[in-house]
Amino acid sequence: MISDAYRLKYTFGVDFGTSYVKYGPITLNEPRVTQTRGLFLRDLPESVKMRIPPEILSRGLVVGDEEVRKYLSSVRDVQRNLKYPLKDGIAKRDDEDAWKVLKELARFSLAQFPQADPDFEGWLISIALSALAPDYMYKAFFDIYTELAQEFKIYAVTILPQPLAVAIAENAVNCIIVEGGHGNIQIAPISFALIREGLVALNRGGAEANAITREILKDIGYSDIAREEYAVEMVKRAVGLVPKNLKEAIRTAKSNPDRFVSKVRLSPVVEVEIPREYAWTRFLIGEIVFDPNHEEIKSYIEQSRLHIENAVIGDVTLYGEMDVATAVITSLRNVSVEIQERVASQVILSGGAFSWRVPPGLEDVAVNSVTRVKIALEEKNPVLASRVNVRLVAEPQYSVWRGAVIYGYALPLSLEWSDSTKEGWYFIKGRSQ
Amino acid sequence: MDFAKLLVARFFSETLGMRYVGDSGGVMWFEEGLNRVAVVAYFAEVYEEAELYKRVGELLATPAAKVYLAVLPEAAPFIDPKYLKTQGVGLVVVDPSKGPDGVEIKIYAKPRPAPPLDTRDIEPIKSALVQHLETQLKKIEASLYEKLRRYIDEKIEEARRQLSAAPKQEAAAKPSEPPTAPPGSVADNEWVKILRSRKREA
Repeated sequence: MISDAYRLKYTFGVDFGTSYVKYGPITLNEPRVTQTRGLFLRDLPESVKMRIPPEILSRGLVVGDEEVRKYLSSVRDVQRNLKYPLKDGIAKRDDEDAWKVLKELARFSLAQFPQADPDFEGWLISIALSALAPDYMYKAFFDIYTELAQEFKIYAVTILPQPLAVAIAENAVNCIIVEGGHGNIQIAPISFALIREGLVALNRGGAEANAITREILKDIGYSDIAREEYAVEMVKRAVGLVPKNLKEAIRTAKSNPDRFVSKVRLSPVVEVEIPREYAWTRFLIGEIVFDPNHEEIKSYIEQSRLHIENAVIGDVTLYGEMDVATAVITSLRNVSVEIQERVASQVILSGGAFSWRVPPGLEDVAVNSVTRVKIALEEKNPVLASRVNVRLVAEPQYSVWRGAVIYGYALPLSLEWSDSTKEGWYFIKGRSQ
Repeated sequence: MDFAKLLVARFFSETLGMRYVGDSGGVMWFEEGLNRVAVVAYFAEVYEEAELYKRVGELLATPAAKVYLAVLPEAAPFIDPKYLKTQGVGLVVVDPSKGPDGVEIKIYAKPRPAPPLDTRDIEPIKSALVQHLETQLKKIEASLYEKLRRYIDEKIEEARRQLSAAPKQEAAAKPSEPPTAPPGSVADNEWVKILRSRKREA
């Protein structure tokens, strides 16, 4: 019989994010973090093979930040052999390499917490996946942990969508979670559970802010720097601004460009300067995440320098040009009218795409993500805006993992996994309560 | 300078290798390295014993490291070598008739305690030296402190790593006592109650 005390010790959370996996038992204050990637040990010179432990060589790949770095220089074709298995939180069904990496990451995370307790009956594993994850991903993860059960003691596995985990971590029972990732933004209404019918996804995120930063850098004359993703990300973080109102912000920046001139030092030898005539473009970088429907942004799309279009993952359409406020309202419309007001009471923003700062002295034109969403909601629906409380999550990096372990602790073991409700425990080896 | 004196100066400078400094008040001054050597020449046709010892007395009063009395051979009968030896005074006998070879040291002078130095010249050097030493000392002190600090920091960091690794290993080998009650963040979470109420699907 699994007691509450047991679950407070042996619930294990894993958040499979596109860039990082956050994992660890419920007893940790903060999860351990490793990059979501694996290095295949192919094309190795014989001299290197001799130095690699046989069990690693037999598996053919390594995961974990330190381990990957250790072998990175030994692999001849890094481009081909370094695999990032998730794109927008999704692994393709037929991408064998991606699934091998995910399995290795699952093994890696469990191997770090060996248990010698005689009362240990196995981990209760709670996995957080993208809300857009198709059914085959659920099945594949259950298969992975079933296989790992031969190596580690695993009692049962459950999977929950990441927005639900955020809501749990934030102790918000009725809310709308707006998760802004690198590749997409998911708007998920929650009322005691994830309301899948109300799930709206945008095919935009931090990547689009990077893309427009790259084009601006090319225009200014930094084509060489624009090729490096790391440099583009640094420039975006340093100079990107979210405007209160794009038109007014551009007018202010054009009439007094000196206020908006900015310099970014990328390294001891490279410094990027946003000159006076391009100072106004800083507002496009932040605005594209919230609303790309402006002629200033459209001109980049028309010149085929930016690609913002709809995409389909499984049965979910990811909208390219829909603004965040419209997406929140669309999501809410798919929720039962009776609970709409309750759900709309809280809009919780999470994820890196909403991490924007307001430099001192620019408060008259620039705002943070919370204010930007509030302003947008007021423009679209003043009644809704007056009733909604918009806020950012307390722990952007760890909230999904924290929600996952609380879910794993609280979900009754009597509830068996159901493919239709996507809820419950999947028991290894047919074990059940 | 008369011929006998010239012979003395030549002997002290060329034969003994001293540097002739000058003549002041009837005393010829030489430098032997850092030491000053005083030579009193008493050349007379007729020597008087009292005058001889008066000159020796003058010599003993000079601030020199070594003192010599230079006399003609005619003075020899009046000189008590024992007295000069006990006083440490050297005796040089000069015979001008023999030319450059006519100078002979009969008694070698003994080194006398150095006279007190004129500290007025040394004071600025001393203070500059003290200052330099202090600066050097501070530099050494600072570099020592820096090395010590780095060493201690490294050791502390090492100890911290070991300490943090130890509980992890311990936890892995022997798990701690199970918590009996959920932490506040879990207990207060409304979702716990909601999830607990979920029932098996029909």
